[in-house]
Amino acid sequence: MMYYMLPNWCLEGSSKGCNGAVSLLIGLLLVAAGCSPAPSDTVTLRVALWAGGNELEIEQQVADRYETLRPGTRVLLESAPNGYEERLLTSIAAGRPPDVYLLDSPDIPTFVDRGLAVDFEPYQAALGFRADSVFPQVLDAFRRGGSLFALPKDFTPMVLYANRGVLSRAGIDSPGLAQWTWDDFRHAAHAVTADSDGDGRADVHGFDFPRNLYQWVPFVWSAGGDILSPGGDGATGFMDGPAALDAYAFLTGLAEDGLTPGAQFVQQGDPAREARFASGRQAFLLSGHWTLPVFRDLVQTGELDLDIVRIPHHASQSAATSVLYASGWAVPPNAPNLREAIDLAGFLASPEAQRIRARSGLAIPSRADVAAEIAAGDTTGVEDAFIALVDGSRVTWGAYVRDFSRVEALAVEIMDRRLLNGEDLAASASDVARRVDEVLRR
Amino acid sequence: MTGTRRAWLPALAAAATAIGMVVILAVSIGVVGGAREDATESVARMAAALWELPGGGDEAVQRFLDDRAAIEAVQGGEPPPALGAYAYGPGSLRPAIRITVAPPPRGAPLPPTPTALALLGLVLVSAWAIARRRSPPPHRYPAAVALTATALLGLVAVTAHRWTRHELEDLSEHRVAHAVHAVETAIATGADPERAARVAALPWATSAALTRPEALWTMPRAVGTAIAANTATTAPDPPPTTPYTVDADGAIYHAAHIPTPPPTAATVQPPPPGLHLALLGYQETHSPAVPLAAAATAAALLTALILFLLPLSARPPALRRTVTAWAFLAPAALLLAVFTFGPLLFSLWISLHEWHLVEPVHPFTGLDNYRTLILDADWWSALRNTAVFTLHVPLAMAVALALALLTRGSRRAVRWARLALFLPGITSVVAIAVVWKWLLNDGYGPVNRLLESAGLSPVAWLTSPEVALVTLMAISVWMVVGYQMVVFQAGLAAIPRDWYDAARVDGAGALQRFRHITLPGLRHTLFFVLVTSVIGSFQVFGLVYVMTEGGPLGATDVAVYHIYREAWEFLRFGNAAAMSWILFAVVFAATWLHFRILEGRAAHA
Repeated sequence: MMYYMLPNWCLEGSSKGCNGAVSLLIGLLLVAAGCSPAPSDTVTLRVALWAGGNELEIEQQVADRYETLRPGTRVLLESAPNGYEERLLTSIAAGRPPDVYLLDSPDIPTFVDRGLAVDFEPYQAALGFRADSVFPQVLDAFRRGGSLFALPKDFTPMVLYANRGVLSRAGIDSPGLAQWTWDDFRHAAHAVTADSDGDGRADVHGFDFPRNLYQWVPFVWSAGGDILSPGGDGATGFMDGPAALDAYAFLTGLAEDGLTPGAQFVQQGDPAREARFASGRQAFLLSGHWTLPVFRDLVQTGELDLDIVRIPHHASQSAATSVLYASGWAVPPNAPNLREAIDLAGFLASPEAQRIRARSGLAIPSRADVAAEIAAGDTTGVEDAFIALVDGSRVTWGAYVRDFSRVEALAVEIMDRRLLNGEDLAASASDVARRVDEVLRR
Repeated sequence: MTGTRRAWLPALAAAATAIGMVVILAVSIGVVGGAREDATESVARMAAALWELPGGGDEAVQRFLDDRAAIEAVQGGEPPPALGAYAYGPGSLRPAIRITVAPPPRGAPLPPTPTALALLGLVLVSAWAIARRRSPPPHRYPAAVALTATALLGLVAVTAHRWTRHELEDLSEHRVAHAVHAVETAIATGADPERAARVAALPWATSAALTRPEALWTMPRAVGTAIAANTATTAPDPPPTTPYTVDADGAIYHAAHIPTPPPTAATVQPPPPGLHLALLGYQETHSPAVPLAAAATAAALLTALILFLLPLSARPPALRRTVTAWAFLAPAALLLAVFTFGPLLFSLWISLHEWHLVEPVHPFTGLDNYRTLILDADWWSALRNTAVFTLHVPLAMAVALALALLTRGSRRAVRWARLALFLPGITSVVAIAVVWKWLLNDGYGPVNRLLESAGLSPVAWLTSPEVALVTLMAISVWMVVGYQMVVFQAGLAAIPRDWYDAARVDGAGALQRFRHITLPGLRHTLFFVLVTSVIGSFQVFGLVYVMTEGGPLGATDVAVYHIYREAWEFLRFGNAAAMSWILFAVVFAATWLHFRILEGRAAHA
């Protein structure tokens, strides 16, 4: 049989090449034999997540730790930093779901309402999971009635990063964690906006335009309004309500008055915003905890004087409300190794795993005690500030409303139409709200 | 020799028909068998879930199960049960017992209906009539037999389908009854009814208590409304268990209303006033129609193929050539069928359904998805943008032709110029898009800086609704001219040099030579480039995805990007598939028009 597998030039007498080919063939066979599946007594658990780079290395450390605790178990991390939802949905549809998957708060309705997540409520005791140790807003995102469909991993509220260096050059003090109004914010943004090189164009700005709904919804909330009705089944009267219109007018006003750099009319936003902020050409940056690792080195070397600030509120309100995004570990009901998967999810959400994971610094651990530990070890005070802002935050609508991505896509138009076409905000908001109603009715 | 061939080919056709029938029956029996095993395992899972609920236990499980069940102690290292489930103590992660259930007995075969018998009679009479013809024309004989075989296969498929549906409906009713019984048992043991319903029915129950507002999201709104309406007709005093069927959105759901007993000491939370179960029916999820139709079609095609070869058997060399040709074509044809035509047909199927990747049911909606698109202004806007974007094709062709004429020499500089022009064509679209996105950025892009240094106003290349699409068209021209130039140069090389010499002798100028020799000589090349470029421009995606994401204000939202978002962002696969077919129709029509107008004109030139 081997004879037939050899190439002609080998059969024709090139003994050196022939020996090489035979050696290669035998080598390949040996390698193939070495790559045989793991022994049948080893349970392989596949975990779907979106980590990349350093974060993935840290998740691998968590997985290694679990393998040490559960001999005979192999944890395979299947990470997809891009196109995660597509890949996860495809694997479930193909009948080969992962054993455990990471569930992002805007995806909760997509998976939970379709019965694609196991209820952890009966297993909390067996897993050693203490619901009262988790930040309540985070836990509620994954709850439906008395059920808990994911074990919270970590979360972040949206906050304002402030570059104290830029502010102090303009004679402005950072408000710190104090409540402040839109007028205060506008005053600060106006004060820092400057043409430092004298070319006739402002190259230091107060803020960058928050174009996407996940960025501007805190401003609507902080004006006492909302984008959807309390049941999440309608937008008319809310997305085009007085408070929302005030928020749109305030934000577009910042752009129209030149207090922000040119708006980037794409979903991904302005790719240079973080660099601008870190290099002292922007005073405030709206973002989550995930941006913090980008600035950490600069803060430690003293190149960036960073502060965490509340989102400002409308003068009619006494406090601001920010939006909060969380992720948790879920298990599909048809997981190949259901019980082992539940056990693994329990470990991934455990204090030990959260402590390992906190090294990445991308988010706040979902357990209040672990978050407090991390904050205690942080000399910059930034972690404490983040935790202080959790109380004034609420979970995104996406955690409760199915097809929210469609709502987000439509909502972008409201301020775009003003900035690009000069349309009246009330008219465009009313039109978008009507179309959102149609989406929610389907 | 010839006589022998003529004898075995009909026999082969008969064998293929018989095999087709066997396949159809096997598919039919397999579907029922699979559903029966599935139902059996579901019963075991429900029993295991009952055991797991607080207050449950082996007595409750025993009451739930009939005498076909077996409860065994778990042995160390035993493999997972094929038709059963492990049961766990409340909240435990270690299995305590194993529950196995014997499959339910098979139902009685469905007797053939008078219609089916009449059809079968018709087929037999036709076959007999054909057989009586002593000297059938050689070409009609196989066709007649093929038609008969196809009809026979279709008849068998229809009968098998009918029997299968009957069996599945029967199983479905039993399954719903089991689920209802499980929930009743769980409630009797003091468990929270909503949780009992969910645990007992996983993974195929879509909802538990409709009385909770958030639970309304767990099923299609129309189904929830239908069930609520149905329940309202039985309120205020519904019978203890009332399984009923809801036909909504083209899918069939089985539902049940279960009144809950008064709260017991073991119940932690007061139960809702009534419990509604909505369970998916089998008519949609296990429909045998597709595999049966596929089996019948495959068998009929095989029979027809064999009978097609029959006349050729009189001419052995022709038969040998045909068989050899098909043997060579078979692998490629198979690949084409599986990876091109298969997905195409599947997308057509999806476009006729309300389709979500992970929904267990895909209700048939007919042409609703297409009807929705007619009223979808965003979709028409995307098509319009695509059409406008396609206008870059003639411009790119003109530039490419000019470059092809200018870079025909073999001097070093010309060769380098050709290489430089060709490079964008072989570079990753994503890489190109990222670089251009940086170059054209409003704030820090070098292009605007250059304009400003020249005293010109900066341009909102990608952030102005009026300019963004034009910018993409210009980049696209830059990307494709290199490839088109090479194709044109190949076409130019095929034009005989003598023609130009003769034209020069006749006193023709450069423009005349171009008009009367070059252009006609490039006729087929131009047509090829035009058709492939138009098709390619209708499929533009990468540039839009990376550079503008369809913005600003949808100005660069082209058809394929729109389809992508519809499917993967908004998860409306039915709509996306319908859009794909409309785009296919547009591209097909455009190509057909090109063929009709340009090639027709060329033929008459």
